[in-house]
Amino acid sequence: MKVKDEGHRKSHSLYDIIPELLGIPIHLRLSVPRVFVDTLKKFVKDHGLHPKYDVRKIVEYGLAQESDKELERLERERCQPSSKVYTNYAITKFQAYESLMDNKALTLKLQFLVSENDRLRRLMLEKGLTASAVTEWTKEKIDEFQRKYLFGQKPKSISG
Amino acid sequence: MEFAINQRGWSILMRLGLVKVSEEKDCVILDVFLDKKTHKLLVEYCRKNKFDLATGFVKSAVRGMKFFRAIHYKETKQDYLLLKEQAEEYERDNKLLRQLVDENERFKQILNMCSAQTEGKEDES
Repeated sequence: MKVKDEGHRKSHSLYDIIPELLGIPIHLRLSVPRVFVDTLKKFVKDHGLHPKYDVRKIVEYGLAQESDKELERLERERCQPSSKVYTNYAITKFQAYESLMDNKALTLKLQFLVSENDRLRRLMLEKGLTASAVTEWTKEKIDEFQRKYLFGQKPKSISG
Repeated sequence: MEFAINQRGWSILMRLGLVKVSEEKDCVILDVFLDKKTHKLLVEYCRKNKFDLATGFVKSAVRGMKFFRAIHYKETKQDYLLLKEQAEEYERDNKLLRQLVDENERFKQILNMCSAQTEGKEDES
């Protein structure tokens, strides 16, 4: 029985810190009409939202600065068959992810690729097959790629 | 006579075990979790429109439910523009990296061909 109590206490404390972990630390207890709660529950269920923690999203949307007219216009635009925002978004996200992963893999061996390129260029110059052995891959450029794709930092030129 | 009870009032009633009062009014106590930014906006909205917190919450949530898809669409549209820019940047970088790999391959082929030719000439002589 004791163990059960401890277990209960543990899960309760975990339950308590979830809002903190999700970055939603403010807990309000509000008295609201039952009809509203039923509507809210149905809405949350229909949209696949979390019944407790995603209510803030609905409130945030409700407090949006845009006028009702502007939102109605957006709703009409959304319903148009020619609107391809969601399709384009999904395709672009997939393409960006694909390029990002490829870039990460290539940047891992970038140093090796550049030194191999240097060696080959020098050999070509020795054999008279090229006019210059200078590569466009400077140290700064390699560093920028490594910062961007391996260490997840924005390059200095972008971050200012 | 109708009068509004604020959140503190409800919590006092709850502590006194008078929650049934709210049930009689067909109201229920709802736990709401908000982030600091949304809470600040909600408080500001209530202050501006002279609502108590519960009324402000209900009104904003009703509006949020009404325009949920429209605002989500607007956010996706904004995200798409940013994502498109980023995807183009990744694509540009990918082209540069692929160019380097291809260039190395091309140089290797040229050098191999060159050395094969010189070996052939040496054999002939």
